[in-house]
Amino acid sequence: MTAAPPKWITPFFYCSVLAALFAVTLVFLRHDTDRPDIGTHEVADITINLDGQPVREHCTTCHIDGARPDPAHLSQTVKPHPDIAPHRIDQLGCTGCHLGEGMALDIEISHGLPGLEARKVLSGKEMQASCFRRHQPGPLPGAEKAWKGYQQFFAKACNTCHAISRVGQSGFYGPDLSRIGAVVGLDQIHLAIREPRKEPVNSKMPRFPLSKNHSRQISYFLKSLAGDSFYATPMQMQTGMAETTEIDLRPQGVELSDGESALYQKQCLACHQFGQVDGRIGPDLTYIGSQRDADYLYAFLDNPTRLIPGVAMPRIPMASAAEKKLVQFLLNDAVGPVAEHTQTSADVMTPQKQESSSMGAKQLYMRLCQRCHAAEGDGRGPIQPNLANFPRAFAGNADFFRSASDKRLQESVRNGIPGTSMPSYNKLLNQQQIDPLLNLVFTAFINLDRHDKAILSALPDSPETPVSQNRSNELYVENCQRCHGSFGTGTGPEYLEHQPRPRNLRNKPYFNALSDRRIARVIHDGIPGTAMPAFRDHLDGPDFWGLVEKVREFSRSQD
Amino acid sequence: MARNFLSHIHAGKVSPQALKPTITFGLGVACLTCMAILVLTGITLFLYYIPDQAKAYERILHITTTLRFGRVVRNLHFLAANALIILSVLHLARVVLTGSYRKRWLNWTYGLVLLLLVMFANFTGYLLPWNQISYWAVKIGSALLEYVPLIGLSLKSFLLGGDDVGHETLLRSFVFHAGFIPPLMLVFVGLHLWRVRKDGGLAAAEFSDGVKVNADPWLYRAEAGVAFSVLAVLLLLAFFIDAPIYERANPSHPPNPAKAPWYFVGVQEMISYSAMLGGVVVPGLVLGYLLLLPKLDQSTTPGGKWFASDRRVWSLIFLAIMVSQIVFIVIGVWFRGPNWQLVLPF
Amino acid sequence: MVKLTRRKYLGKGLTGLLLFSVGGLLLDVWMSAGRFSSTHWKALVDARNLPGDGTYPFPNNKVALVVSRGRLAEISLECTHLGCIVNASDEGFFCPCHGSEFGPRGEVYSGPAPRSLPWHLVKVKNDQVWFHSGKKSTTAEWVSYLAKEGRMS
Repeated sequence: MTAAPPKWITPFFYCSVLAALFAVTLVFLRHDTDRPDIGTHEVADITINLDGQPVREHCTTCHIDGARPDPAHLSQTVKPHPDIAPHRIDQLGCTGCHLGEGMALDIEISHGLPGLEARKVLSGKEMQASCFRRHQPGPLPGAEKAWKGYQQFFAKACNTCHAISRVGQSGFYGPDLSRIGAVVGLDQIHLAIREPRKEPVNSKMPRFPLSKNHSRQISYFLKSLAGDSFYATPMQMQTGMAETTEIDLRPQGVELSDGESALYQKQCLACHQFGQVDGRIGPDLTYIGSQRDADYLYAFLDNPTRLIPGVAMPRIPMASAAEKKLVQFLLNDAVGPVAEHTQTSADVMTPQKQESSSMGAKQLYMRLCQRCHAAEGDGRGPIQPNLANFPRAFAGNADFFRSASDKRLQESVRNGIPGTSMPSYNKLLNQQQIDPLLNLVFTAFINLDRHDKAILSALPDSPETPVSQNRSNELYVENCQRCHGSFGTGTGPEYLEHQPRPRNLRNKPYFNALSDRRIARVIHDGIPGTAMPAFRDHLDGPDFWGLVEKVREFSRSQD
Repeated sequence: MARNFLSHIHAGKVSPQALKPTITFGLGVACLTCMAILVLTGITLFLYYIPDQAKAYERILHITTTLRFGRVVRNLHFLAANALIILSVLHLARVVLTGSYRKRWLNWTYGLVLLLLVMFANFTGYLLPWNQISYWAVKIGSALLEYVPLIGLSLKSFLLGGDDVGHETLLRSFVFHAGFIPPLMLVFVGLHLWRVRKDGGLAAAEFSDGVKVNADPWLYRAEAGVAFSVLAVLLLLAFFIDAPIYERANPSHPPNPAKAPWYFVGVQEMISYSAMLGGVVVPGLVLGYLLLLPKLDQSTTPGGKWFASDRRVWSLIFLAIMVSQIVFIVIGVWFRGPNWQLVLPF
Repeated sequence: MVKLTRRKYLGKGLTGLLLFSVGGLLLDVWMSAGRFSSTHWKALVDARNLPGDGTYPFPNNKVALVVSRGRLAEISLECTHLGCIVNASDEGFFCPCHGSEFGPRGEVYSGPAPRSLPWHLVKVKNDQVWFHSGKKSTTAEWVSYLAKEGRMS
C-alpha cells in the first residue's frame, strides 16, 4: 500500500535549492567587495633573495615602487619611498627591512596581526630597528638610536644576564636574546624592558631606571637581533672577521685606579651605587669594605647565591687578578669615604647635642637604611623589589618589634643578618650612633616605646624522644607546604600571594645563625607583619620540635 | 546513475513516520553534506598547500588573500569542519534519545568510530595553517594524550612524529588529514549506511497499518532539501565568518592561556581540576558508556520514540554528560584567561 | 572433520601471523620519525676543558650541562609546562614564560610546570661530550668524565 506523501517535502526541497542558489550568487557577486583592500589592483608579485632563499612578496601591489598609498584610492600614492641609496628596493624588497607578511594581500594580515607582533610592519623612525640585522653594530647614519641602544645594553649590564649572539662575555641567567627580534614585536620588547615583572610576576629581572628614550633605544637594538647576522656567521667569527664593538663604560677624562675602573667595566655600577654613581638596582657599595670582610667579598663574587640564596646578582666572570684589585679597592680605598662620613656625623653631634643627635640619626638612616627599608620605613625601599628577602618593615609593624628583644635588634644592626642583604654595621657605626638610629626607627616609624616588650608565652619543652621523621614530614605538608613549598624553597603554591614572601628554608647561612629556640619561637608565635601564622594552638609540644627538625633538614640538605 | 545509486542505499518504500522531520531532523544527511563539502573544498585547498614549516603559513595567506574565491573556499572548509563536529554530536544525541541504537550495536559502533575520526581529522587539520594558535593547540592537545594510560606516550610520539611538535608533526598531520582519514571515513560512512539498510531502515516507530511512501522521489527530495539547506547556510556563513588567521607559529612564545581546539577544551578544563580524573577516568567512563550503551539498555520500547520512559535513566545520563561537557567547554573557551584563571569574557 | 578444522585453524593462524608481522614492520617505520626529526646524538662540548662544578646552559641545544664531582649529566631546558626554554641560575632553573621554578636538579619548586625537568642520555667519546636529543629519562644519567685518563679542566 502506498500512502500519500507528506506535503512539506516538495516546498522544502525547492526552498532549499533556491536558498543555496541565492547563497552561491551572493558569493559570486560580492567576492570583490569582500576585499576592499586591494580592489581591482593587479597583484604584483616580486621575488627577492635575502638569505640565499627566495622570498616572495606582494607588497608592491599597493605600495607601488615602495610608495605610501592613499588610503581612499589605493591606486594613487601620496608619498614616495625616501631615497635609501645605496640600498635598492628592487633587489632588497620590502619585508627584509619593513617586516610584515609579504604573501598576504590585505591590509590587516600583511601589516602584522596583533599578538606577539613579531612581523608587525616597521615604518618611519622604527626602521632603524632593522639596520643591525645586516650591519655590524656601530655608528651608522640613520641608525643612531639603535646604536645608542647597543651602548645602553652594555651600560645597563643587560649582557650579564642575557646572551646575545656572538658577544664574547654574556650571561645565561635571563633568556637568550639572540633571536628576540624575530619572535617578538618592538612594542613588546619595549614593554618587557619597562615592566619586567608584568609576566611572569615572579620574574627576577629588575625594573631598570631607564628613561623612555633609553628603553626605546634598547628595544630598537634588540628588535634587530634576529638570529645569526651576515656579519657574524660562525666562520667569520672564527677567522676574526667579525667582532662586536667593545663599549668603554668608564667615565671619560677621569683617572681611575684599576680597582675602581673595574667597578665600571665589570658593570657593577649598572646596578650598584658607589659614591655619587648609582645604578638604583642593587645595594650601595660605598661602604661595603667596612660592612663585609675580604673572605665574604671573594666568596660572594665567586657565587652570590651561596651567601644570599635567591639574590638577583648574577655571577660576573672575572680574572682572579682583576677580582683581587676590585676587592682590595673596595676594602682599602673605599673606607675613606666611610671614615669621613662617620667623622662628619660625629662632628654634627658634638656642638648641638640632643637635637642634633636625632638629626644625625636621620641622616644616617637616609644614607644607610633608606635604600632598602624605605624613607617611609615600610620596607619598600627603592631597591626592595630586587632583594631576595623583604627588608623588615618598621612602619605599622609594632607587634613585631614588641616581640623582638632589644638585644636582637642591636645585634642585627651590628652583625647584619646572614643569608640576607643586611650587612654588618659594626665597623661603620659605633654604639653612640646605633642607639639613636634605633630610637629614631622606634619613634619615627614603629610608634612604640623601645622598652615596651611583649611577655612571650613559654615554649613547649623539647621532648626526650623526638617525633618520627614521617610525622614531621606529615606536619610540614599539612601546615607549611602551601607557602614554603615541598622543597622548603619558600615557593609553595600560595607564595606569590604574600609580601614579605615566605622564608626560603634552604637559606643555609640564615638558618645556621639561628638557634633551635628561635625557630621554635617563630613557629609558636608566628611573625607579626608577615603571613607566618602562630601555630601555638594547633600543635603539640613534640610536634613543634619535629617541625624545627624538619626546617633544619632543609638548610642541611644542600651540598 | 545517481538515482540508481540512491535506490541501492535506500529502501524502495519507507514508512511516513520515518519521513517525519522530528524523528531525525535530517542530522545524518546534514553530516554527509558537510563531509562532501569538506572533501571538495579540501581537495581544492590541497592543490595549493605545502606541508612545510617555512611555507605552510605563507601558502595559507596566499590562498586566502590572492585567490579570487580562496577565502570562501577556506571559510567553507573551516565552517563545515566545525559544523560536522556539532552535527555529528547532535546526530549521536538523536540516536541516544530516541533509543535508535537498540539491536544495532554494530552500526552504533561504526558511528562512534566515525565521530572519533571526525575529531581526529579536525585536530590534524587544525595544525596545517601552522599559526600561533594551531601550533599551541596541538602542543596542548598532544600533551593531553600523555594522560592516556599505558599507550599514551607512544601514541603521542607516533602522532607528533617525535617528541615535539615540529616538521614531522606538520607532515604527519597533513598525511593523516589528507591521505589517511578521508578514505577511512569513506569506508566507515559506507558501512554505516549499509548497516542502516541492513538493520531495516531508519529506526522509527512503525505504523501499525504498514502504509508506506515511495522513497523515490519523496525521501530523496527530503534528503536533498536538507543537503541544500546545509549548503546554503554554510555558504552564507562563509560569507560572513572568516576562518581565523593568527600570527605565524612561534614555538618559543606560547600565548597565555594556550588552549586546545574548542572540542577538546572540555577535557582541558576537566584536567585543570584533576589530571587523573579529568584526563583519564572521566573520558574513559564516557567512552565506555557510549560504547556499551546498546548492551546496557534493556528497554523494550522500539527505537525511534523520543524519551521513552523505560530508557529514561540512560537518556538522563547522556544528557548529563552532554550538558556538563558543554558547560566545561563554555567555561574553558570564554571564561579562562591568562594562567587559566577565571575571567569574564567581556 | 578433525583434520579440516585443524587446517582451517592453521590457515587462520598463518594469515594472522603474516598480518601481524607486516603490521609490526610498518609500525616500526611509523614510530621511527626521530631519525628524521632533530632527535639524534649531538656533540656538545670538549670534555677536556670542562669548567668546574656547576650548571652550564646551552639554550640553542635546549640542554644544560651539569657538572658535579667529576661526573656530568645533561638536563633538558624545555619547561615541562609548555616547552619554553628555561633560564639557568646558580640555584636552579626559571621559566620566563609562566614563572615555573626548578631546583638545581630539575625538581619543581613552583608551578605551573607539572613535572621535573627530564635528563638526556649522555656519553663521552673522543673527548667530546655527546647527548641524545630525543632519549630522555626522569632520572639523571651521570657519566664520569674523569675515568678517561684522569683528564680534567
